[in-house]
Amino acid sequence: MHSSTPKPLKILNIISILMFIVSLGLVFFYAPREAVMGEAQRIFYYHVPSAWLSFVAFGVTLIAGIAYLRTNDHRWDRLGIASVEVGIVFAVMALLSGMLWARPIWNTWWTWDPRLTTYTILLLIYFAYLMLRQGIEDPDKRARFGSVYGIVGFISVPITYFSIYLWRTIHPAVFGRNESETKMSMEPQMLQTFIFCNIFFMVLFVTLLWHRFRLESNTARVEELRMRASNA
Amino acid sequence: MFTQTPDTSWYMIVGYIVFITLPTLFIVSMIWRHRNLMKDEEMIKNLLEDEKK
Repeated sequence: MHSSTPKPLKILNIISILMFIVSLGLVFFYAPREAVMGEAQRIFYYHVPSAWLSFVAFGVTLIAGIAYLRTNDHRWDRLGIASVEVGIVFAVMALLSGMLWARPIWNTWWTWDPRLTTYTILLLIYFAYLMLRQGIEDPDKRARFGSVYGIVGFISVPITYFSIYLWRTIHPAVFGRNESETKMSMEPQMLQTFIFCNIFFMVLFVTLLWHRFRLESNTARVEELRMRASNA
Repeated sequence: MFTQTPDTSWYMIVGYIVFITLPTLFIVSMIWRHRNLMKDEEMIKNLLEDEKK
């Protein structure tokens, strides 16, 4: 039998829902409207954390890949794939919301800007990870492939992150080495909202990852049972 | 020179629809996959018990 949801995960579920409600309250009723961009600027509060947490997700896959190759423990492989799926959800959110922000601000839905281009390539790399994995029947081979792919694929993350510093870009820098690099200044209410949304997304990430990891563990158990049935 | 703030509400609304819809779809897909797994598990267990008999 599958185990019931552990208590810490239940608590995380509740915290995520509460933080989600509070974050929406802060975004729509607490943070002031930005004078130049108008309401579309509010996209930023969710866009930035979803983007950087997709990097974290793929980083978890990198660590899980290294750990699997060292230990051959399939739990690391499960963590790797779980993190890729969550990362893709966050990355798609960041990409679509970025387009919705860009339309009124840059006057275009899409431009082949270095950040946008590298981020799209990154997303395609991890979509390919999911598709290629499905084509491998043997669990050991699949885990080995997933680990190596997760390690090699991670090269796209620093390239994407540093693309705005390496090439000419119109994408704003939120995290910079100094204030002139970030080109951003925020009202205190905006900054508080932004920080809260980042914390909320971190909690959401852990919650989703934990659920997805449990699902992957159940999948592995049923797959094992299926193999036993086919051998019987 | 003072310029009026543009009305970009529509983009914000669609943006937040995206932010809410995507994780919801992901959660629904996890629930759906979990239910399918439980059904498969039940079926395989029944098959294995039938084999024993």
